[in-house]
Amino acid sequence: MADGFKTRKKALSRHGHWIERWKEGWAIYKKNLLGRIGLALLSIFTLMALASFIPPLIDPMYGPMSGVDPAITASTGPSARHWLGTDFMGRDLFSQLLAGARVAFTVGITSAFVSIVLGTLIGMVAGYLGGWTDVFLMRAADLIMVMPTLLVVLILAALFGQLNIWSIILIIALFRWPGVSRVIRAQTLTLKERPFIDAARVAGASHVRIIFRHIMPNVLPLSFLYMTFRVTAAINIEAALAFLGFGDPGTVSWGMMLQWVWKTGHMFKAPYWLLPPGICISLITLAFYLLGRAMDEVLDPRLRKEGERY
Amino acid sequence: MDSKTSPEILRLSEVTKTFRQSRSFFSGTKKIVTALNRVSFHIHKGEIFGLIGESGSGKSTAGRLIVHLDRPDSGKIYLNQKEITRLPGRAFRPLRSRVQMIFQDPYQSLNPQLSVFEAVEEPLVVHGKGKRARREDRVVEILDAVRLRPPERFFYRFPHQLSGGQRQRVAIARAMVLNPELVVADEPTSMLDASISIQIFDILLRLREDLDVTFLFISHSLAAAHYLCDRIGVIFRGHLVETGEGKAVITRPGHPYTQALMDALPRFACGEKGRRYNALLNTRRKPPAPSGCPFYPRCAKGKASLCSAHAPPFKEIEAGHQVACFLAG
Amino acid sequence: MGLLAVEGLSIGYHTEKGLLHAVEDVSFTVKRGRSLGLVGESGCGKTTLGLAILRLLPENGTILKGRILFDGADLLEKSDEAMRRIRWKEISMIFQAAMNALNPVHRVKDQIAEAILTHEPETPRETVRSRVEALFDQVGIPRSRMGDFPHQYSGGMKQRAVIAMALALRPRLIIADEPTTALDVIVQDQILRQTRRIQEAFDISMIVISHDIAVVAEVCHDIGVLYAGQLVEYGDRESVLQSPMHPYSRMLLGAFLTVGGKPPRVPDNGNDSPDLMDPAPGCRFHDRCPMAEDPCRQTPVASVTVGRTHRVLCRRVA
Repeated sequence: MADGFKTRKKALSRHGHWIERWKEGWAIYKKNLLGRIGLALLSIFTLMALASFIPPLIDPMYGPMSGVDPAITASTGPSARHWLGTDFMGRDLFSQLLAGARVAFTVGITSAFVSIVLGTLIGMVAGYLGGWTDVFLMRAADLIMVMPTLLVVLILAALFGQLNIWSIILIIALFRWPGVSRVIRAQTLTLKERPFIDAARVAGASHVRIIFRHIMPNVLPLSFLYMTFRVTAAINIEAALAFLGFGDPGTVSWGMMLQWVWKTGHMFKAPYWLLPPGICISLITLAFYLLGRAMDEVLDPRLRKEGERY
Repeated sequence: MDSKTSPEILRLSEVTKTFRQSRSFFSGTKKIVTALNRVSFHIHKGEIFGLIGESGSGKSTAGRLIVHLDRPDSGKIYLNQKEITRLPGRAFRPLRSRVQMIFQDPYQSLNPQLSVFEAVEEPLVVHGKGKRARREDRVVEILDAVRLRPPERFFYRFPHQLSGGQRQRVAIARAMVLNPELVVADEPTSMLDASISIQIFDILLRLREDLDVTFLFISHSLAAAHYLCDRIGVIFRGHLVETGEGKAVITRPGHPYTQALMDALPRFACGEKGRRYNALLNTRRKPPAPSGCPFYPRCAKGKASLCSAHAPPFKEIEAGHQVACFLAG
Repeated sequence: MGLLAVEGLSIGYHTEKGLLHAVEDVSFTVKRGRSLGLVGESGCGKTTLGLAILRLLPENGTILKGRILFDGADLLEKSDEAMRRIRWKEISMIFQAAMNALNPVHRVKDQIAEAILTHEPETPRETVRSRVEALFDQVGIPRSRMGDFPHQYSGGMKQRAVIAMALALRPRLIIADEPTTALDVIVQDQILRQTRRIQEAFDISMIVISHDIAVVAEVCHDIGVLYAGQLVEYGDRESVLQSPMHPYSRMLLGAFLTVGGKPPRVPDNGNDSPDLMDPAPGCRFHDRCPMAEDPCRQTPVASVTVGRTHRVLCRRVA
């Protein structure tokens, strides 16, 4: 009984450290106007993504991909029935826009997360071990970094035919870790010189333990910062791919919507169709960027001085 | 503590360590800096040996070599009569629990992301000592020994929530938690205030009594060494120039450099009437031949014919008190 | 009447968590040609005091009350412009880690000449040169090294150059914050003695801020001991060093290691400096004090005069 109480109290104070840090971080973040705008925009997009499940429940014709309004055979402007109008097949643009938000989040966050995990691991290992490991990993990073991601995906798409959304996510992730790994490596190099790493060695800690227990917690905030920038990049790449016709034909992304506008020759005829996805792509990119900038300020001044931005 | 009868725990024999230093950013030429030049000394079990020198004298390098953070270029290091100089990292790891180190700057030597409990527990985890509950007891015990009381109150504090003195206590607890035989304390109080330093010294003295641990105490202060150490070694630019019983070295310094260090002590620390040796030259001489005495350029007593050409050998000026100077004794 | 008189000065820092009471009701004077040493552990407010006198507190620092009289005029009421003229010309400073204050891409002599010309643009070139040469002589840097760049200097020489710079405009008061902390013992000793010589020769007043009571004992006529923002003891060097009255000064001096005298004894009850966010109204040392009683914590303490020039902030002394 007493023991249980003791343990619980400990757990509380253990997390108390993180809660306190979040509170402190939030206090700084709150002061940043752009950060607040970014967060507001993101909440709107999150709501959109969550709401994307609702329209098809109301009426199958609101299904973003396959729902067709039987009364409509061509693209129409906004109406009470279709708030943003319909596309050339009579599909509801508003539900497509909502579904697009969901795809943007999936693509952005998943591929950013994977590339951050890769980049952080590789950066830490290269920086900590140094020597040939470092040379090899960093040259590999350079090699991948100079390859234009978009072009590579295009070539792959041309080779393998249509890519599904998860392959796209994976490819983006695999091509976007080098930037992160360089930053994390730089941070690791400075951390490695700090006496607490020597202290850990004297305590007998193995390399694996030093990397994960001593270096990782110190670079993770930086990784998360870079993740916000990576999200932006991933969303943009997916949009570009979809627009060029190499997107996953089974999903409705904003880039896909733009491609349909263009392909069906509605580019200059249907602003109600062209503008919403265009604006959404710009705004979600902006939102993640603003979030990143504001987080940068939260982490400042400890981390900003190291490394390059991208 | 009768150090003469107790066995030897550590011996350095003719240890040399050099570092490559790029001379300038552009020229790319490398300059070789000798941090330690054929340094030999030994420490008896249970004693506190003070290695005294200025920054850059190589005293910290000696400490790092002993705990295997660096390897010497030549020479041998023995722990309990067993040579450990070239043991590979893996083979040395079991010995780590016997040789620990307290670092200079407690603001830097604790991982900011680890709580006090995690930091002090880590060596136990790494060496697979005991179950969680047992480890917890041990952490409580050792925190109590360094007077962080009550220990539980400090468990989940983080370094940034502690004062400098408290941090250094945590660092000491971390070094002591495995019950090591030998602890290298590298200027453990240079970042702390006088009243806190004394508390730290007293903790070290008490730990020595209670846990029978041997200390290598590295410092720039003869006064601190006088307070803490049984024996003292004075090191100048990588050369050990004097060793002996603490009291003997302080009251009868044989080497001109040790004398200069005594002169530099605040007069207030010598009770105003301390003797001045005036061992330091006002201007500097040309550096001697590589084989000459390293202190010759600054030595007020040096003789050109002798000191600039030959390396002075160690001379015993009284029992157990050795000085590397031609003119001593 | 001293050259500088600080009267009832309290300074706070605005932080995320509220107001930090860094300095509380501190008063002292620095007479012409005398030097005052302020000692205390890190965070005791000694650097804050130095910055406040120069009106160089960081943005979140505010002077809560008190006056800083320099030559009878309150520095806190001067305009920024007037203050800028006073800095360097009347009051100059030697900062902690001062060696970084030298610009690495200019020759040392040029930097000192620059300092003179900025404040006295009409000085003829010849005069500037001879003044710079004289400064090098005073601080003990050989003239042959005048044209060197800072990186060619050793730590001690850089520190001497910084002192020369502080002297360049012949100020009446120099504030030196930890002037020798980063230096080796032998060099430190030399520089302290040189500093003392200069200070006496030019009749300059000085405030030396240090954590090391030995440094202060070496150079200063008067000593002020700070603890957690309070000036707990203040008096001439002999009185403070020989008969310290405040328990903290006693602890500090008791902790001072000597090679001759008696072994130090410092009680260790594990307590540390108080939280300056919400200090108790009474004595801030009560947590660590071996003679503290209940009222020490709650009742504000008034300073007690124990000698002609010796004041102590402790109710147990009264």
